[in-house]
Amino acid sequence: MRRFLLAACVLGLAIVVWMVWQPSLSANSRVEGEKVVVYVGGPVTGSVIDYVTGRTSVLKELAAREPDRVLDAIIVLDRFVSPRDADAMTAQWAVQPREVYLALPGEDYSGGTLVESSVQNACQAHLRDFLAMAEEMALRDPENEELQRHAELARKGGLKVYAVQVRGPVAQLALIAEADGVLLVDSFYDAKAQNYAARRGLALTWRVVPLRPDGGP
Amino acid sequence: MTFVSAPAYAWDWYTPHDGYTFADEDYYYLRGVWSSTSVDKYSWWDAWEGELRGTSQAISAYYSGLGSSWGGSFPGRYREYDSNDVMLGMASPHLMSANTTYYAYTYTTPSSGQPGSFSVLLESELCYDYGGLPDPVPRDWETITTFTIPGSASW
Repeated sequence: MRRFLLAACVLGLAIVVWMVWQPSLSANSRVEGEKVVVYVGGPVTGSVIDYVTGRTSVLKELAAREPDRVLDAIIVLDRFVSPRDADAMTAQWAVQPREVYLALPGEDYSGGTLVESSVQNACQAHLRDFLAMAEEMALRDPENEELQRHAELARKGGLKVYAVQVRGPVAQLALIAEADGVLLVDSFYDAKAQNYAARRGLALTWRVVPLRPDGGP
Repeated sequence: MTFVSAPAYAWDWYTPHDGYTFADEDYYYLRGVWSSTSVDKYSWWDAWEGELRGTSQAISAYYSGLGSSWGGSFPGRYREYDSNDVMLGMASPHLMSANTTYYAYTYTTPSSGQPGSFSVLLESELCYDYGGLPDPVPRDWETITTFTIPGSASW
């Protein structure tokens, strides 16, 4: 009996040591097979305010330590803006837009398009691609009435910008986080997840799911 | 161009009970309807993905990456590509309503050697999202159907 208790204690201690030794992941990251996935742009669960506060602190601390480090980040706006306004904002912030996120305010539809020249051109490309797909699906999948309704709203100019993925120096990203119209600048930086992936030789994937200003899904 | 109707099958709870997919040389479209059982079971830590995988070769033999545009109505939608699959996913399936149509699409980049037609399977994958846990957690998946691109399948 004593031996059994001793063995159980040793095993329990070993489990505790193992759990402490394991680098934990943040609430917005998880392991999927051979990769670590980190969500950026909003909380997977929990309070938006807490998430924004926490991620802004991380960005500011990083900016204090490594201001010139260049990172990707998603700028989440607190309102929908036109593509022209989004171009003006990124120009003012002196960052290179890489992908723009658009939505139909009040509707379930949203999506993204890579930015090659300007946000406005990317938005035009998104509309063109979306309508082309919807036109083909009107013939192939006529059951999807929601898609056709969304396409009609988009055709009438309903698509608005709510987030822009950019690349820039951390110090600049931290400044943008304070700008009018910005809810959150969420950098592609997660020390826990990056350490975890490096330690185990896993790939790291940033999954961008920005919060929408209308609370849409 | 082929059209495939999958045989009647008892799908696992996380798979849309009704759906349609289409893919051609440069895009992938997916529509699904989930039952009330599915919607009730999904929790905030779950994610769902509809993955296209090559049946005889890796998907990278057919697509070299993602195209410029993507979108849809999946709650918390995302898209991903790796050498094994092209994926349309949703981070928040628990926000779905039962018996409601959801869809997503992504443009893709054809590989330089993309054949005129090729066979893929559509896989329904459930991901558990226990953020913060130190170790990988089990996932589940099942094949919904196999079809030829360019072409479509419904179930």
